[in-house]
Amino acid sequence: MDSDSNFRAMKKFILTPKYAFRVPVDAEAISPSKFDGMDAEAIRAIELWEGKRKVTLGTLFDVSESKVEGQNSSTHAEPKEEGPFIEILGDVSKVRRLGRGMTKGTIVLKGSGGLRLGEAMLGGRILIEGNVGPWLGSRMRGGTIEVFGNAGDKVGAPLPGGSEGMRGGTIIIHGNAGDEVGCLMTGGLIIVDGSVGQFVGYGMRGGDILVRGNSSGRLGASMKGGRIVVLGNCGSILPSFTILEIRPTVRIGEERIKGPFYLFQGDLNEGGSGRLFIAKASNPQLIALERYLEA
Amino acid sequence: MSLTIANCVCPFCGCCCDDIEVRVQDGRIIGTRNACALGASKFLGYNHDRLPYPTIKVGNEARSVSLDEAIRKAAEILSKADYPAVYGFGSTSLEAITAALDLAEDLGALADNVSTICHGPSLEAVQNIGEVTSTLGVVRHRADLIVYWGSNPLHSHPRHMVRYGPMAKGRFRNGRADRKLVVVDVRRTLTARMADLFLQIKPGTDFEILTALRAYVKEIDLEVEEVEGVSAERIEELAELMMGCRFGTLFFGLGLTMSPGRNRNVEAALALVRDLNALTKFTIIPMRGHFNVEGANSAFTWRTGYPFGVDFSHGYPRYNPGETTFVDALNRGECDAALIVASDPISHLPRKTSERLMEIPTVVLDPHITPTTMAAEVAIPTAQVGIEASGTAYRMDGVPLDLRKLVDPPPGILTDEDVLRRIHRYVSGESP
Repeated sequence: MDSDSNFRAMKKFILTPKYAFRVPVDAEAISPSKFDGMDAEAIRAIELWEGKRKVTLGTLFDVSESKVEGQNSSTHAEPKEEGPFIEILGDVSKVRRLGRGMTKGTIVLKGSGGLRLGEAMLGGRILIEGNVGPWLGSRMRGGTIEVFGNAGDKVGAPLPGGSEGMRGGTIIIHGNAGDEVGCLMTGGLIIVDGSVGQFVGYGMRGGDILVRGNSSGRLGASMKGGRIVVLGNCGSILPSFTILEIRPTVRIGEERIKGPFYLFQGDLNEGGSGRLFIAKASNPQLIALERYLEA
Repeated sequence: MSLTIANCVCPFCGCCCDDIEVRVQDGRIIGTRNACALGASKFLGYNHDRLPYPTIKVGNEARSVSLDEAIRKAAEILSKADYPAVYGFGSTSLEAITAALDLAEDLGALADNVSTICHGPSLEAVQNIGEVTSTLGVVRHRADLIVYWGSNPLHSHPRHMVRYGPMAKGRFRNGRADRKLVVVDVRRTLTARMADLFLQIKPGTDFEILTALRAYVKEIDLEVEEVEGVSAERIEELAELMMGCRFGTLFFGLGLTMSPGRNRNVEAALALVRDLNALTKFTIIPMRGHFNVEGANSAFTWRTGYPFGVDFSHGYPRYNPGETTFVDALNRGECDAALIVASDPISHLPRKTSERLMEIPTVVLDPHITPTTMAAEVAIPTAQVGIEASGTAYRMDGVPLDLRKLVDPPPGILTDEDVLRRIHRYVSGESP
């Protein structure tokens, strides 16, 4: 935004997988917050799990170090964040929990990512040029994640036993996403440019979800609060939602989107007051519900 | 001279019928009483297609080897792997399952049981919502309304309806005339033909129907005339029946757990039963398939804290269905060896997953020749639990029952538990 600001020279680390991983690699330690103040030598010595064995990061990745000056980045992801900048070149879809709990800095992934990427993230920025597995931004609290490919199921969702999903920050997915986007979300913003699966915003209590494509239905099941906006077709609306009115526009994030939109409230089975904004133009199957609108 | 052994527990389905009489002559089973067609064929056919001796695959040929050699090779395969899996357990004893978990922990393996492809979603749902449940005995004596949802017990659990369901003669309910039977299914099954009320729904709409039922029970006006093709009156009729009964039980099968929505479908059913308890007494019980899959969940839970899908690779149990479950790990091509106990995944898993399993070295323990033993790197024959070996099984409602040894296993063939303990001793470097 403030394009003329001077970025401090910061460290940039380039990680390249040495071979195609087969078993899961647990990479909780690959995060700008952990790398802060380290040199390449120290980073190579960090311990990770490869399957059931502990190995050093240096056995899995080539690590090189350089300086990044302001906006002279080779990627369209400009390192706007303070803190170390990590670039990962290649497919790391077997690598789990990349960037877990990071508070600052940037990760740019030029390839596909694995499960639980950006889990419990507090701040900073992650950019993924390929696809990414389930639990993207699980229990995220702040920061930004942007995916140029597709995401798996349970974007922002908690792990089993967790009662709270994403609480803050922004997730932008330019491709499609799977089921249960924003499960148990309490805050923050998720934008999906493509289509999504079932159960968007399952049990959500706050925050906003925008789906520009289609949804496979069961929108907002068990939701108690928050807002879901769907611009494409959304199949049927659950019987535990009630239609309130037709709205001309809706504001989400920094955007005001033109409608008109059907506005539903629910999930009444849970005593909820979550709201669904469904684009009227792409959902002719819902016209029959208009007669429940009081004049 | 034949011997009749009374009160045997049937090692077939989750009903674990414990009133079976088995006739034994010259060390062979020659007849049964009380068993259904499925149970009788298990007792009488236990000697068909037996795996005769341990084998190790050399090239494309399974070569017969000594038990010691097979166990040594099995231990070697499993120790060498970076992310081995231990899987199976629907049809073996609790004792064997605990032995396998001890081994899995020391191997740092991913341990999973067959509920990952049947009632795993039910277990996840129970963790999220809780469960109002009872034993089958309570249902038999008290229930005046039985609902089968996505389950066809006449085919899958043939004696369920007679022993615990609508036809059971209990203390306070005397058979079919005293009980109402409701079936909800996507097709008109044999069970559905016996129902007082049959609700035929479109495939994959269970969640919507359950949501509508919940709304009715909670006195929320439905703003619709039909829900996914079922009229509001039909839903009202079923809801009234459920709210008006004195003791109702909902049995649910894989129609609920394996259709789109999975654990969310079960959560809706659990929540419906919870809501009904504000008005009457209602319980819910999953229709478990194999005779000891409930036991596998119990053993996993008391050993690790989690009922299935447990990953020991970091040295302590971790659980996240979708991440630490066998089928998902196989689909992602992550496991590099597997130990399969008393299960035939190559016949049951999706084709793509089976192909992944055939790409990695496997150690298989099974009494019979199956596609999984045929694809195994090491196949070890074991005794048939409940027929040639004793042990403990948990019925579908969690009641433990003793499985009996009725006849001797073929010479030289050990139980699952013994083979697993011996593999474990090799893995730990002790002399077996």
